[in-house]
Amino acid sequence: MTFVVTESCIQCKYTDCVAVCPVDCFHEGPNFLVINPEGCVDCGICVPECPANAILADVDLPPEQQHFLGINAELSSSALWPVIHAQKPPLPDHAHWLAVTAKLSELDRHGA
Amino acid sequence: MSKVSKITDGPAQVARDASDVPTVCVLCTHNCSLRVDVKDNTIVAIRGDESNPNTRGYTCNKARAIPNYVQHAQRIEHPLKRKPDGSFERISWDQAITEIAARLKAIHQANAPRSIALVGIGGQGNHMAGFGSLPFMFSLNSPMFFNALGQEKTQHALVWRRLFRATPDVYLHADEETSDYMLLMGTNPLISNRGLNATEVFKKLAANPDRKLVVVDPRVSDTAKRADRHIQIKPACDVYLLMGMVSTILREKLHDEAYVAQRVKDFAKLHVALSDIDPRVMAERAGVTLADLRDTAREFAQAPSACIYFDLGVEQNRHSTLVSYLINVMLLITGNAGVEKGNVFIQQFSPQMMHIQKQVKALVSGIEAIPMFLPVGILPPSVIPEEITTDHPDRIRAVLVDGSNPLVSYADTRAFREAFAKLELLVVIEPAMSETAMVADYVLPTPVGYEKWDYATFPHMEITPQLRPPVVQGPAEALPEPEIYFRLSRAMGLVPKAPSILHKLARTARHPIGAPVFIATTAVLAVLRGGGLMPIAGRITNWMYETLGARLPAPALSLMWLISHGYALTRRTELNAAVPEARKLWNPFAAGELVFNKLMAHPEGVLLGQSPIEGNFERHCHHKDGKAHIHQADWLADIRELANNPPQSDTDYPFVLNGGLRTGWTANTIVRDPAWRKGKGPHCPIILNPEDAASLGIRDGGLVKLESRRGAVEGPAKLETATARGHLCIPNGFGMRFPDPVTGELKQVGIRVNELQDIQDRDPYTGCPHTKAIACRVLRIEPDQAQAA
Repeated sequence: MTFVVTESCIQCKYTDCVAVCPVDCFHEGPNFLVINPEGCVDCGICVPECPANAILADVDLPPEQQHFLGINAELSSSALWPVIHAQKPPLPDHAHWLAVTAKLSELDRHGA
Repeated sequence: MSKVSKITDGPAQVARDASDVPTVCVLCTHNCSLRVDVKDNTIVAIRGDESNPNTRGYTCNKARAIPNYVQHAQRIEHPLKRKPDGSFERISWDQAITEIAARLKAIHQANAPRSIALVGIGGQGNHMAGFGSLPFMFSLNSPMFFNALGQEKTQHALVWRRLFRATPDVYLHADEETSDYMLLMGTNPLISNRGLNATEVFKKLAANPDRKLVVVDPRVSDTAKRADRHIQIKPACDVYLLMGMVSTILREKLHDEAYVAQRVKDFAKLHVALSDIDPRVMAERAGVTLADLRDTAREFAQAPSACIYFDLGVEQNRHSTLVSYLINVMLLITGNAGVEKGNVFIQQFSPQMMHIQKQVKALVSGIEAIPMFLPVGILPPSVIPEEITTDHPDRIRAVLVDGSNPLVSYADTRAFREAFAKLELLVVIEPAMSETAMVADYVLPTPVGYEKWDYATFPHMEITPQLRPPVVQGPAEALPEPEIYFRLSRAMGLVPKAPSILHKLARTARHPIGAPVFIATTAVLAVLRGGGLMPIAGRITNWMYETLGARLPAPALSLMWLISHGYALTRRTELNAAVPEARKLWNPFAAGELVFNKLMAHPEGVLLGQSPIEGNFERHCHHKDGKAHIHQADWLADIRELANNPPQSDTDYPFVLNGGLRTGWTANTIVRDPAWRKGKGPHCPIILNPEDAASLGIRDGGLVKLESRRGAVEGPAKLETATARGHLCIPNGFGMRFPDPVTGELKQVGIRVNELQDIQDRDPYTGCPHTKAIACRVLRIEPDQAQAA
């Protein structure tokens, strides 16, 4: 069991979740955040914080978002995706991208 | 020089900077073991401690709130006395002790001992607080002890007393790690952390296709989402579901014949009483499908092993004693009580306790005290107001509130406010200026559980107590609770000075030969002074505190030492199973010393006992015939009455409010400073179904008023489909008043649900209030902005 950041986060990156995470288990890329499933204590505190509703429990993942389970695990284990400790402003075009649902092609893997 | 006797003074000496110091989370019964870093006497970092044998590094987000619990704007720095105008003046400890002792003594001499009551103690992981207050009550010879367990869990202890003649130190806990079939009732462990390392247990459960999870909950909780079957029951109707399931098992002869023949008395009588209950009617009343009810009953009975996991949702609810009884009936007839992978008797770290039949009764209601985890009976908080306001000459006249906050935490705030105003004396012993402290005659400051020696001892599958030293230094004038009670006992003349021989013998008490000599001499001298069992126990504990205690890092550890010896003397099999070096010790007092030394040497928690699963039922069922006495005529009569009469609903107050929802941001009333809650909130909304909201013109975030027959509260609405129509939820532990960080003015944080509760709306056997089933109506008090636009 873990919580997973899904597609809605891409190009928005609000980071409200980072402010509440008790164990600092969000990792940051250029336009997306991921949760380290090993560090997540499953408290679920981050879920309601996300303005994009991007964070879901693994059991709540709809079929079309299942692959984000692997994406979160993979990217969070990369040294190129450091832990983010504090909230920061969202990406400049967050309002535009909030309304876009299919944006996986926009994901910048930052070399990972 | 002061005339007040004292053993310890001033705060514990602790390094101002330290790394990786072991301690424990005191915010819930899980008691996660922690490591903290301290900088300039402030806890700055908190991690789960993997070296604890029980919690193994587990924590939830709440542990990070501990710094807010330790340091905040409402810590009490000095003893306080209320002036006639209601404000407080700072007084010295000597003045406080002298004046309180004189007033208590006058009340004690003029009235029955029961005119002085103790309310509270212990909290979630500060269990050494009881080392002072309970001996004090023994010395007073007053049995009037009220504790939060009496508004939560005593129905189980009552059922176990009757069915098994159980001792108070046990809990029939679901074997969550291995059971093949788990039935969850009234609990959302993924959020409340009930049980052991809940999220990890459910991770394993989900990964195992052979194990089945059924969740009974009116709400689509996080745990319900992970269930193989979620039975979305009508709120407060658990009793009907259980009646239907038990009847199904009996009618279809699905009971475990061999188990019943060996371990259950009067099964035939039970069969007669319950098997004609119609499962179809019960399913209808519970708002569930007959298929769900029947399938669950059949699967539960036929599973290789099955357990029932229960918590506040069924405990602070209607018919909670009957529900607890039916849970135990279901476990017994299916052969799942006291056996591996079923519900197993677990026993806390303590000497083997005894079953004491005779218990004190409340004057007005006649409700009996119920011992649970402690060797003394616990009375329910809900009877306190009527025990104060009655005309009976033995009524409560003085109350010591210690580690609790009745004016926020107990059902029916108005009843408490009015009753407390009639007391001759109200003393509050607390680290913080609680709402109850605000109306007290005297307020006495204590350190929090991170500023003194303390321990956590809730029962778990294995016996893993955690005794811990302070990690930060408390206010200079805060005194640990046991010292306050010691001073009061001496100032009241309840216990004389320890005989000088005991001081001499205390020097060698930490030796396997010296220990029995010290204990025996203390006991004999205490008996020689006469009086009943309670005053004798009061003397023994006080004298040990005074003599041996003065030689330990904290005097209250003398009782920990005595408990260690009691444990080694009476629970040797469990000790030997877990601690190999204990096996070769022929002298039980050498084993007792080993237990105490292990506790002191392992502030991260230590495994001190393992109980073999074989013979679990037999070890804990203390009826002479060795059987569970399943036929309880009064409860069965109540159940038949329920079966024959459809429930009446209050049409003027059609909603059922769960007044104690657990969320990631609730921790009872332990943390007063709301700054620990992060994120956007609102953290204390009135949660309701979107369709109900639409029919009432309520929008998400709009202001809503809830009215019960007793009171009214207001708060922001939060719409969620997880909450069923007709159901409402409000998170628990809100409604405290805390200074605004800018203006300094006291402001209420969230909703005080207990204003809505009627103190008479409670279980007739235990007095447990129906906090999860408050009849309400919902009113919109903010103009609908959408319509206005």
